[in-house]
Amino acid sequence: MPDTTDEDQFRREAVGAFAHELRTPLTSIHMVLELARMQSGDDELCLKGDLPDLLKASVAGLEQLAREIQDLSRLERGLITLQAIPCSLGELLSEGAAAAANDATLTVAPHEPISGTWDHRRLAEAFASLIRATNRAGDGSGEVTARLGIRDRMAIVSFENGTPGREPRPITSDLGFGFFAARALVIAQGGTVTCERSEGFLQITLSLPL
Amino acid sequence: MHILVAEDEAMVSHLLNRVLSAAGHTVTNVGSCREALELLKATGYDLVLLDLHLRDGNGMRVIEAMAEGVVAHRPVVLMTGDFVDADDPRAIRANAILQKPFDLTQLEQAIERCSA
Repeated sequence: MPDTTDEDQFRREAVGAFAHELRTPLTSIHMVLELARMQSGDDELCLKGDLPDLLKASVAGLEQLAREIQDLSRLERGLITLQAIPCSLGELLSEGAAAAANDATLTVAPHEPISGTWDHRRLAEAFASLIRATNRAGDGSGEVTARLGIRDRMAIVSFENGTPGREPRPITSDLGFGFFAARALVIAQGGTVTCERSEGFLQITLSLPL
Repeated sequence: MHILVAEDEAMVSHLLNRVLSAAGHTVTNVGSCREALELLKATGYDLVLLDLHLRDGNGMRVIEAMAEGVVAHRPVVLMTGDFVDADDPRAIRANAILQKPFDLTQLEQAIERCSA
């Protein structure tokens, strides 16, 4: 894991993650087209059965990546005006968990209500990305735990997933591009994101100003 | 051929199953190293199509288990979204490398290389 203050290193990791993730939906699109060719025989290429839906899902994956890299780029250039409104951290987490529900189930540890003024929609999306990243770079069990608190006038959220004794491996190569996009958003709101692995557990921790 | 596909991306895994089944192969899908190793202990596959990034770790664990005799050795086609050159130890230890995205021709060529 690079030093979290090393922005150049993070940028290189983000580009690497983006290039890597781009290849997954492209592979799916190749396969859908091959299946269509098999079904069509000598006819013109024709998408039948569930192939249009599979193609649509693959294209949706590309669109998601395109949105994330565009947002990241615009955030870094100061071209996005954040829509800060009063919101509850618990509600934001619930919305993030709902958006990530296909990939992971979030359990939120009991906590006191915490509210702040943040970009509600974007932060909920960032939470979804961080839940996915925690699961993906953890043990992939689909179970992610979140803990909330307040420290030094900052709201703290930590996501955790893992299995004790799990083999160590580089974290950033597993996080996925969504992590880097979410991190940029949290930083743009005056917060921080760190991640570390210890005793088999991956923990992503973010702070947001109250 | 009886092919074990170890791939954690559900869509890619599903589509590989469809494409390979349509080509006449019998296909079993798993998404983790643990599942792959369990099945390799119990079943005699002709080929393993192995993704480098699996749910619970690096797919190279499966190749290492074969090298150590923990499971029977099988031809392995390693799939990856990373750049892998010919000198990379991962490329040397696998029978063939498929860099994503790949098409059916490349997939068939890799399978043929393993069965030759």
